Amino acid sequence: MEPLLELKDVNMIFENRAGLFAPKRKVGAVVGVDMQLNQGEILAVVGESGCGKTTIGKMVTGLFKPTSGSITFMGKDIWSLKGNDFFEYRKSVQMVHQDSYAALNPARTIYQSLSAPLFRHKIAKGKNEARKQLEDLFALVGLTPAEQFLDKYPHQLSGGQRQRILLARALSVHPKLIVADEPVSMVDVSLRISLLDLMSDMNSKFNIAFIYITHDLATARYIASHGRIAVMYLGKIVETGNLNKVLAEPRHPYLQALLSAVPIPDPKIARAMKPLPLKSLDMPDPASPPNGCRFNPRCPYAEAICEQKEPPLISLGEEMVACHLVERIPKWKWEQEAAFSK
Amino acid sequence: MAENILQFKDVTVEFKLRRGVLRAVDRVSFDVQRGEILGIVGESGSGKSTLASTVLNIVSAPGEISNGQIIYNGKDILKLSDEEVRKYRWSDVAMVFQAAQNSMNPVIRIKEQFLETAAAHNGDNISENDVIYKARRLMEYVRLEADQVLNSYPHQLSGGMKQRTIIAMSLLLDPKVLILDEPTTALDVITQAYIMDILRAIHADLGITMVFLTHDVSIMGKIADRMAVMYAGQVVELGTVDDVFYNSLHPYTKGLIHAAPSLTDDVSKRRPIPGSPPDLINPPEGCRFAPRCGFYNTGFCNGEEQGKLIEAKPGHFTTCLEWERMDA
Repeated sequence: MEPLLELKDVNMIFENRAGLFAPKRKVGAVVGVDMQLNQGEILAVVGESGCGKTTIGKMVTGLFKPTSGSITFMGKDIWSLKGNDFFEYRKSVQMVHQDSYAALNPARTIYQSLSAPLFRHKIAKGKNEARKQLEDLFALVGLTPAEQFLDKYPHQLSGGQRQRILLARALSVHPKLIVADEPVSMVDVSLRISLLDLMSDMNSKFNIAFIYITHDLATARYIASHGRIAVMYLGKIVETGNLNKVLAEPRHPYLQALLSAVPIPDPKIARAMKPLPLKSLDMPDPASPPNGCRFNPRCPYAEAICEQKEPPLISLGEEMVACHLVERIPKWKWEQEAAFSK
Repeated sequence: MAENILQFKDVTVEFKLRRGVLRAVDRVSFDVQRGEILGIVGESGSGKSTLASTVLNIVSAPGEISNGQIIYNGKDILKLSDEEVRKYRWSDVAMVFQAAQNSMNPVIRIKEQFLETAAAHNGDNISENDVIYKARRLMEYVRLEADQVLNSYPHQLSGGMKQRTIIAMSLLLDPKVLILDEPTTALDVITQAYIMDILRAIHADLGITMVFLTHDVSIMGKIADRMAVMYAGQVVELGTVDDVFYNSLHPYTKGLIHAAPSLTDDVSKRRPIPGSPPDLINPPEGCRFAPRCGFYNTGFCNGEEQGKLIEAKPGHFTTCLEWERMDA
């Protein structure tokens, strides 16, 4: 089957200056990334700030043009699309942003903001039809009664409600792929799960593929429990595979460190957690990444080879890991699980 | 019985807005014990930051403390003179603010920020050399390279380094109480875990009392001894972390703990709390959680409120009148 989306050796290099008269320097935000996404699949892209996950989202939606490499959507390179094809691609790939307040025009009512794409893509003819469609969509995303929301301005709604509106807007043009960049990080904890569940429902109901971009491994579990995960570090994918398998048996030392840093909402387990398996806290400067493996200065297991050669992403069963020493990295122990079963 | 270093008595903060009066903090009473780490959990808008700002008497306009007392070491700090307040801030109670990364002056070096702080809050009692000496020692505490950081400007430091610098600065005048308002919220998980380690180490070494505010209930287990839960301007539950987590006596607490995404448990077991927090200008009559509460909606509770914490079990307080149902 042809994948819905394919990234082949994609690089995104930004040029910036450290100061007004300083020479230009190159920052590799995304380096040599390969990625595939099938119809209706959920992929969680996880990493810390500065790892390039948002840049991937922006490249997939066509907001950044990669410096090199190709991105194909339904078999066609998105940067060679013309006319109708490009229009169709733009319609098929939608985005849900992190800051729901910034993503809606504050001077327009929700109806005004959300009807525009319907007219643009000729999905609705006339105001009554647009209104009817939006009412149906709002019922779908749990905003009822719709009349209460359609004629309001963004500032009159809560963060959770606005985030649902963004999702409704993305759904309104019948996309094949939704890129959700940290959609719940600004939403109250008590409402996060319901939004994640909602996206999961939309995925199974309409067979819409999702790319869920987050720094929070715990939320990734809720939306992508039957999907895949790609863990990024300094512009590269270090581990990828089935989400449940990867989290049950993390192989890359970076992912192991990341997992031990996630707070556990259970005091007994939290107190039993060991210190982070990391040599240093600070992330290297992406403008001058370390030689060899990008994680080697922080990795507690690093050996000579890690400073010399960059590890490729190699297959290990169904998962893929980029680590020279992967066979020798101690197995990750879920102390938490042991404590839970008691 | 532990000694109370800080006591809140009926503290109420009101914001007079055009739409009406918003009570961000409503009749809050509880004690902070000397030497403990007290965590305060609440979602956005629950009033925890406003409550924290009352301790330094810096509630921002149009808000004002309309009622209540805040007793520090036997004295009501709301009655101190301007001069006394200036000394009380930072040398008795220090605070690390939410967007601490942005609370530094961008055009002066870190070193000068330390000097300025000491001069502003401690008058002439401490020489410049002493301040710098102390700053170096504190930098070691937060595991930063003292020489390099003290001579930097804020923009030259990463977010995690700035946050650690601010923590060091907050300890400059040996405060007895340190209030931390969402100190790790804007940081990555690895940096967050590291800062928690640092805070625990500081607490173990200096025995300083800490009040830790966060919206993230999952952090509590790692850092706090006791925790308070805030909802719609009120403290609804207070007790040891274990009591509150394992034997919650308020339905909101239980809901919150069960709504927090976790890495370990069964995905299908997590449940969001239905509905959304109330509008504080027109809060629901009686119990503010009632519209979202399972007990109320199934008829087990008539939604009355008592408006204050009662000691349901030794050292474990709740505002829920039906707490015995929770206990079952």
